[in-house]
Amino acid sequence: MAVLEARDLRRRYRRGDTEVTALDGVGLTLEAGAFVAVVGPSGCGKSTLLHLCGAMDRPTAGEVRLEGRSLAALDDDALTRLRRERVGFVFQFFNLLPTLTVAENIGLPLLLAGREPSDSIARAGEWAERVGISHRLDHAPAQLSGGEAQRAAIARAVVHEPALLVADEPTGNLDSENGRRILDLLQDVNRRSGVALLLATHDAAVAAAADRTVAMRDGRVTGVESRRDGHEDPSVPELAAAGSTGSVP
Amino acid sequence: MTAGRPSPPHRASPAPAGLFRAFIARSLLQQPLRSAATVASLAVGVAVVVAIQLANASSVRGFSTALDALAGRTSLEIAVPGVGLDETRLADLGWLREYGLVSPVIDADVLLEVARDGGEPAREAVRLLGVDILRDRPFRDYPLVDGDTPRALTTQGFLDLLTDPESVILTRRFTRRHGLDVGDRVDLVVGERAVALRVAGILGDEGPASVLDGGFALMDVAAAQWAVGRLGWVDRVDVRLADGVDIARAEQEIASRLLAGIAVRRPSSRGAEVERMLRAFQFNLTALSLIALLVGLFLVYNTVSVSVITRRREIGLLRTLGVTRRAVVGLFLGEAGGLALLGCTLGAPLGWLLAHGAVRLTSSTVSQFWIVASATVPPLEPRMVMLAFAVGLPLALVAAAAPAFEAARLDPLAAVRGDADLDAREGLQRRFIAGPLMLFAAGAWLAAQGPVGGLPVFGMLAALAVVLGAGMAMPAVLFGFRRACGAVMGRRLRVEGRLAHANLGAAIPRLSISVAALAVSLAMMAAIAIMVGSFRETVVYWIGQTLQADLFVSTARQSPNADRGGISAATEALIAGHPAVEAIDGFKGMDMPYGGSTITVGAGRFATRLERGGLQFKAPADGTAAMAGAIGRDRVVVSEAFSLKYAADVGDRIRLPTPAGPTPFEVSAVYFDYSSDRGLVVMDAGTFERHFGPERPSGLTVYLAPGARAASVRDELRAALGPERRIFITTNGDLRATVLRIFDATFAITYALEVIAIGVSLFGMAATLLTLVLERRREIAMLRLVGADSRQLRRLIVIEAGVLGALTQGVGLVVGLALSLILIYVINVQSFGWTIQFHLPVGFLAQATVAVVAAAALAGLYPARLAARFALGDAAGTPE
Repeated sequence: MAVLEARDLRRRYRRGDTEVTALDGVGLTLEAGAFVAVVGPSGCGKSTLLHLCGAMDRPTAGEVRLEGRSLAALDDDALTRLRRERVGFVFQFFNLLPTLTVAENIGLPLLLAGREPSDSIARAGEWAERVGISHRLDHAPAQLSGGEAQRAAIARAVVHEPALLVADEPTGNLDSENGRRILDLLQDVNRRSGVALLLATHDAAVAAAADRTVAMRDGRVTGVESRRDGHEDPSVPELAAAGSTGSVP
Repeated sequence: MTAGRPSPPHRASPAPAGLFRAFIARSLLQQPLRSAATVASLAVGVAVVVAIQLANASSVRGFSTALDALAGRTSLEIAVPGVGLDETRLADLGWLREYGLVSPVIDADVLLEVARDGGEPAREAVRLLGVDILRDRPFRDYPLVDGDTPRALTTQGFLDLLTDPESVILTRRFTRRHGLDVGDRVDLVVGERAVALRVAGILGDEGPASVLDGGFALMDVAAAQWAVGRLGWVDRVDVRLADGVDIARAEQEIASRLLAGIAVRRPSSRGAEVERMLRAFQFNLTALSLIALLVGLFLVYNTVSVSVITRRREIGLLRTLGVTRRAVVGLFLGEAGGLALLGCTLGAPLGWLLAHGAVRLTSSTVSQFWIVASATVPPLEPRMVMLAFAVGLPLALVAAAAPAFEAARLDPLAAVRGDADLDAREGLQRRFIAGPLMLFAAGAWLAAQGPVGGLPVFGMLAALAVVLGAGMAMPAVLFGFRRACGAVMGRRLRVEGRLAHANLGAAIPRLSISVAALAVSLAMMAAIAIMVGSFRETVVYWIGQTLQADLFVSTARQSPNADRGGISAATEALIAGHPAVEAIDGFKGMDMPYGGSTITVGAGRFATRLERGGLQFKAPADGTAAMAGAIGRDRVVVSEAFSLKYAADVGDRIRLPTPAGPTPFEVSAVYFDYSSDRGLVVMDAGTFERHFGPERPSGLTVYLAPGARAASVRDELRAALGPERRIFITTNGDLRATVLRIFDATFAITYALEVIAIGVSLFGMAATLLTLVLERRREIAMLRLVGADSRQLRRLIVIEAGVLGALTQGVGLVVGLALSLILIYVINVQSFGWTIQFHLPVGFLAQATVAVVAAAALAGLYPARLAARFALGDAAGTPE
């Protein structure tokens, strides 16, 4: 069973008097352990696609299924619980809560799920160890470097062992050295825990690390490159021609 | 500011108008709720001050206007103070005519009864003037009317109207109120007697009839003497000086020619006495009203502080673009000024509206304890509007000065980089510990100082120092709380408690002010609750000790000054003759000018009182023996209030005006009394009679034989006395209940003011919570993203609010306790001369605590709902 199945996703916003189409018929499938990178210029719809796939937002049309379960029928709190249990997020701006320590930040999803604080903090410690910031557990986020903060954010994103990890420009705010380390870490997590990784990036080097790359422009998929066999996915042009939709199996 | 004129670009003068519009005005409009909350709280604060000033003015004004109208064109009044003049001595005063016109008058507060179909008669207290109309017309105007048309009448015609001893002339307002017309009957009740009178004429709304809401009655002087039981006496002789006679010289000359004991004074001096009597009461009300304003100012400080804290980057940007420090100060002072202008504009008319409620609440107290006056709220004059601005505007600017200067001191680069944000979140500055300690020390020193002109000025300043100290200590308290309670909140309140604790810790600089504002109002509430509770307990104990008699008999007294006409010997004999009655004590009270104010001189039967016990003596140790020693001598016992106000201790001599001239009396004991703050001097009935002549008592206390049922004896006595004698008999239990009811009514205004202050600060607290939630929009979205559901978010924010409520209430209780000690041991003693025993109203404080915590938690509900609706996309955004 695929971890994520997105079909014919459309998302329109109203901005003032005009209607903006952020996504215009996009499909995507991720199996367990897959690493898919979404690339494209700013405003092409990458983040919107990630928000819809990560159960952060609802599509105007189309369907998202996470581990076979359709998100359309879930209310806000059910979506929240789903995120808490099955999805992890990493963003460009680390987004740690400034008022909590690093350990508390990492353990937050477990705490929110009602796990014992001692258990949550212990799990946070394990993950901090794995991402290499165990010496920073009692520090405030403001005391961390950018790289360290992003490691903490990654640890928080996977501490609850989600099925899907959504990473939106995770290296966008880091220097190249730190960016490379973060990418290594994400790949390591992806490989070792089997979490499906959906990552949006501007960086060709980052995209090159993915099993598959989905190129987007103006809310549509313009191409898919699968690196397992080194060839462009043949199904894409057909689908694009069939009706302005791009679907990636 | 350079409003309406574009500034040259190089000119970075204090806050150009364009910058103000873009940077401040727009931001205020973008946060309508917070701006409205600040304006509203400031308006309420200003309104309360204006309302109390109007209410104070109206009670004195009501009385002074009445006094002026009743005095008419009188220049001087001549009488033995508190006693009047024996008519036989009037002949000796013939020389007064050398100075002008002379008119002897009867002037008394009496009760009029108007029969109503099937039911209790309507009773209303009125001011009765008995005059010789031939002599009095040059003094006062009595415009008779016939319906709405003036009725022209010669002096002879007027005389004819009044010659019938049963004639009374009433006002149009009074007769309309009671459906009376010319020829109808009214009963005038004086002492225990009711005298049937006939309405002979109706006065239009001019002269004496125009005041006291028409509560005025006019009679012929002889008829009035008879009606009020003062045959052979007049209350005073009014003198209207001839044109060209200098009043000061005339007053001096007349004083030197008058026999000992007779005094001359200007009618206005009575107004001054009243003002002095009411001064402490009104001073305390004014001080209390300033608390509401103080809370409003805290909120101005809060708004400007939040504005500065949340806009550090923008301020930094402005500074890098060349806006001077002075201009930054100008911008934020302008923000406070704008809010204050709006607040004051709304506050003045709101104050006028509130004044109607305040007058209702205070006038009953004022007339209960001091004067009978019909108080009405004066129209909102420009003076009061100016007061609103004069109080609100400068104080708002002062409140905003600290954050405005903080904004100006920001390092532009650090602010733009966002480094300056950290300053606001980290560390406790030393001034937040040293400042409060210094203020508390100053408070302690101030509390030890004596009164200034009979007013507890230093006591109030001590209270202010404690309040400001507490406000300033708030960051330290919050830091302490953050250190102490983290683990407990995390354990007890789960993840939401942990998060709430972390959030509160981070928001200390922002929270301190609104928490301080609420804590100060709660402290005042607690202080007043403790003070009133202690006072009430003291009074309950005092009543228990002093109200030993089983029945209390009185005449139709409406106020302390309406003390005319006593209980007749026949009535006393009838009561004494009841088989269940063991002993009777009589009391007679008389108002007298003393030391520039008014005191009550009373007489009681010391022997009976000593035998039955009940007085609580403050000094000497054996007060009972001292009181026994006063019998048959020129010795008196005085109330604590008298002793403190006039510095009269045991052994001192005081000079009281008597018909024979000022006479010295030795103070033999000081006793506790909570019935009046005006000062009581009590002598044995025998001593009183020797100096003031035979007077019937105005009240009797009746002691029954053991086993007798007070209520049955009361009913039997009532039946025996019959309806003709207007005698009121109250049982001990009923009187105690009445005393406490009056007590509670007296403090209603106090509570009303405090409830307003608390309402304002809860409002401020809600606005602050909302601001915090809006500021944390990204963090909250982040929380939702990683799995906090709406219930958890609600719990989180409600816990934050509840914890703040509990913290403020905790601080409020501690500070309130300190304030209550100042109120009880400094302010009350200096204002009223009352020793109050400390008592903690635990039940009330516990209820208030639950209510405040619940209200604060509820105040978090709206921000919580708002938080649950934040778009999750916010979480992914840029750091600021």
